[in-house]
Amino acid sequence: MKKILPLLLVILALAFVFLGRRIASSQSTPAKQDKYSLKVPGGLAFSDFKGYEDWQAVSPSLTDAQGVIRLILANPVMIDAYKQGAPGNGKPFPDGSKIAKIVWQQKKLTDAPFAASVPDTVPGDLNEVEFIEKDSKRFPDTHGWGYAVFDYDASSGFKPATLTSKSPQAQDAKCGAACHTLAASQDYIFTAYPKR
Amino acid sequence: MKRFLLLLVAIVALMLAVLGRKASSAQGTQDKYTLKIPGGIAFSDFRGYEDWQAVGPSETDAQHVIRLILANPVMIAAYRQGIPGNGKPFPDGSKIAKIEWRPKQITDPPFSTGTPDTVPGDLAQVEFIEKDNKRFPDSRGWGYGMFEYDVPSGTFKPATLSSHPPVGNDAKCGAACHELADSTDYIFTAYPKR
Repeated sequence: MKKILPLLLVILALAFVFLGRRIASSQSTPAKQDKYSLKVPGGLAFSDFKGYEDWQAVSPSLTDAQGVIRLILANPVMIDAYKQGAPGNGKPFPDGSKIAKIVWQQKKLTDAPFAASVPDTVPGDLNEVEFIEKDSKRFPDTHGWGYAVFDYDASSGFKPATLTSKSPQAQDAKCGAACHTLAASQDYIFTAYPKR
Repeated sequence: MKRFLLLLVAIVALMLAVLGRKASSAQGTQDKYTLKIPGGIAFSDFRGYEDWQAVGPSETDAQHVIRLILANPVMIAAYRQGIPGNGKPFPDGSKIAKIEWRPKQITDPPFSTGTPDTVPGDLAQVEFIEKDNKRFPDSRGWGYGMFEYDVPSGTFKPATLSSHPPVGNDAKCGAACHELADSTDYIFTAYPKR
């Protein structure tokens, strides 16, 4: 009996440590959140874009009036198409093309060598990521493209955008379709691949 | 004889077409990777930079540039390990490329003159920085180079003392300025969350 008691204590201690760790990690959701388990109800899954952080860059952009600065990345299929001249050559992007827009709040650097009158504008807090993918069978109503937005909040992590988000998103993959009709001459994609 | 003449005309026309094509494509076919800053770094040190991963975008209105900052796999891996914020320096072999364009304002819908979208316009220059403590001992291990892009000719050329920023015949052009970033291993650009 005396032998069992220390063993029991050790087991209990181990159990507490294990439980404590689990609780701690569930509290730090932003770092530990599995963003790839998220999905827009009736729309795109975050996991369709797994690995977007490593994709090559198409271009930067910024919209001062919205206070945002963006980095636009694309998967290898779409980068290849861009390099071959799509969509400027009149050819559409192929099925399997995926593009990701990372949208940050603008941050103004005014420390030397910059200054208040000559600030450098760089990414600040992450606002949202926007995804577009082409699958002509899956998205026949929107010229083959499916759209999604995931809002980011430093305290709670990513979540699917809704109709009340800055970029309103209904429960489908069409959120960007109406707007992107304006880019019909470039296969519904606004972003060009600039010379580098 | 008539046949021969026709053949001759056809051959001459073909030759002219080929020659014309070569002349017109010369603009786009400069081998930029043969360029080198006298006494400084070579364009070829950065071969393949077009395919490197992005660190981040940036823009300086007053200098009229919008940038895309790319880094090679060694440097991207270092960034992801927390360098330079964790106090550790970037390792030798780190390379970073800044592509600078003149900003272009897009005012077509969904944008407007009041809410334009700013995107890359004409390519202005590429700036390169690489770390090699043996090669660049006098500038904290970093070597700097800049190549200007000329839109009409479609060619790059090494920047000079009359460029902005001025570049001498060495690899130190950025060193004085980058002293300001000594707490981040002399690199200004941070790797933002994505």
